[in-house]
Amino acid sequence: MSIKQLLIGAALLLSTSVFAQQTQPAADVNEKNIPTEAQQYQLAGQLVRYGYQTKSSLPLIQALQIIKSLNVTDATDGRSKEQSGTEVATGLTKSDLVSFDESQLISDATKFADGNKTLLALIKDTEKTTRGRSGGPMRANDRVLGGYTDTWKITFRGGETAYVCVIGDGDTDLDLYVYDENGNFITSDTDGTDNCVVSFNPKWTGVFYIKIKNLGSVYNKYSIITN
Amino acid sequence: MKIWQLLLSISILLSTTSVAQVPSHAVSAPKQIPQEAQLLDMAGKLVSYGRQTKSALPLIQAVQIFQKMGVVDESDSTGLSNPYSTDMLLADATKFADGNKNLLTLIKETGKSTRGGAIKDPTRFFRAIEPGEVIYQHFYAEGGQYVQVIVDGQGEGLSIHDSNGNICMSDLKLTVFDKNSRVIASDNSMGVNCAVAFMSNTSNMTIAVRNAGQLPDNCIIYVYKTPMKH
Repeated sequence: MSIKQLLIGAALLLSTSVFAQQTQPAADVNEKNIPTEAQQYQLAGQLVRYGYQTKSSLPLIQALQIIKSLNVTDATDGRSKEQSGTEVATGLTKSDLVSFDESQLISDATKFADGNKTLLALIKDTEKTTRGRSGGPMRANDRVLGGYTDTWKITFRGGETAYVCVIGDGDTDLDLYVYDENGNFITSDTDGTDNCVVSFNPKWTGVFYIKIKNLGSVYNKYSIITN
Repeated sequence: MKIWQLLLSISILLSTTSVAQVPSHAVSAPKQIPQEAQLLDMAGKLVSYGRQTKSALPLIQAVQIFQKMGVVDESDSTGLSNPYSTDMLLADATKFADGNKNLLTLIKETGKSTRGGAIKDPTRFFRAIEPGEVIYQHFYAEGGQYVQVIVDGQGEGLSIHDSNGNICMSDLKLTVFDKNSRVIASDNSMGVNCAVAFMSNTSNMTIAVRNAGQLPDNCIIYVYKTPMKH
C-alpha cells in the first residue's frame, strides 16, 4: 500500500468514526408542554417549602393530598446515582427542617397545627385518603452537596412523553440537565430557583443521564420525580 | 490538485466540521425570580388546581396566602369579575367543601382573617388578554421606591396542538414605561410568568403586557411599591 492510499484510508476512517460518534439525540425536547402530574408535583413541593418556611400546617396537608392523589411511589426501578464535584467549604450551616417524606410531613403538619382541632381533623382525613391511580410517578429523595452535581441514570420508554421534576429545599439554586446515553444534550432548566421541570419525547427506550447541579454553597435536600 | 489530495482535504474538512457541530450549551444568566413572585405564582396555581379538581382546600390555602401578602384588588374598569377575589374563592371553596364540617370551619376562620403585609401591600389587577393583544395598566410611584411588577398568567401548561401538530400556548411579555414612554424594565422570557424590579423616579408609569402566544390567557398583574429605608 502506498503512502497516498494509507493517508486516504486514514482520513476516511477519521471522518466516518467522527460521524459515528455524533449520533442523533435520543429525544426531542418537549419545551413548555409539561405534563399535568409534573406540574402538580411541583406545586406540592412548593407547598412543602412554604409550609416549613412559615411553620404552617395547612400547606403541608395540601401537599400531602396532592402527593397522595398522584400516587407518587418511591423509585424501585434500579436507578443509580453518582456524585461529582468539589465541595464548597464555607463553614455555613443550615437548618435541616424541610422533608419530602410523607410520614415526616404528617408529623410536622401535626406539630405546626399546634393543637388546632380543625387542622388536626384535616390531617387525620388526609392520612385516611386513598391513593390515586396505580402506576403513578416515581420519586427519590436525596441531597446534593454545595458545588456538587448528582448524576442519575434512568431509563425512559420510547414513544412516551417523559418528564423530570426536581424540587429542592429552597436554600440554593439547582440546575437540571438531561443527556442521552451518547452524551447528547437534550434539555435543561437553569432558572434561578431549585424548582426545575423538563419534558422530552424519547425516540426509543433507553438510558438518560439526569444531572442536578447545586450552584450554592450548602447542601440541598431535593426530591426528584419521573414518570 | 490531484484526486487523492482532494479526497484527503474533503475527509479532513468533514471531520473537523463534524467536531465543530457537537452541541455546546449557550450559557445565559439565570432568571432570578423574587420570592414574592414565587408565592403569588404558587397561590395562582392553587386556585387553578382547586377549581380543576373541585377541591376546597387549595382555594382556602390560596386565600390565606393572598391575605398574608396583603394583596389589594384594584377595581376593574372593564367590569370583569375577579375570580381571584377572596369572596369568590371562598364561595367556590364552600361549594366544593360539600358539607365537610372541618373545611367549612376553616373557610369561616379564613373569611374572618384580616390582611397582613402592611409594609408593602401589592395591588392586584386581573385582566383577560387575547393572542396578539397588548393590555395597559397605569400606576403611580413615588421617587425612591423599590417597585416590583409581577405578571402571573394562568395559561401555564395549557398548550394545544394545531392541525399541523405545532404546539400553541400563551406567552406573555412585560414592559414598564415611564411617563415619557421610555422603557424602564422588561421581561421577554418565554412563558406566562414575568417579573421586573427597579428603583422608581416620581412618575406615572405604564405596564404593558403583550400576549405573544397563540392562546388567550387571563393574567394577574401585581405591583409592589416598597419605600426605601433611610
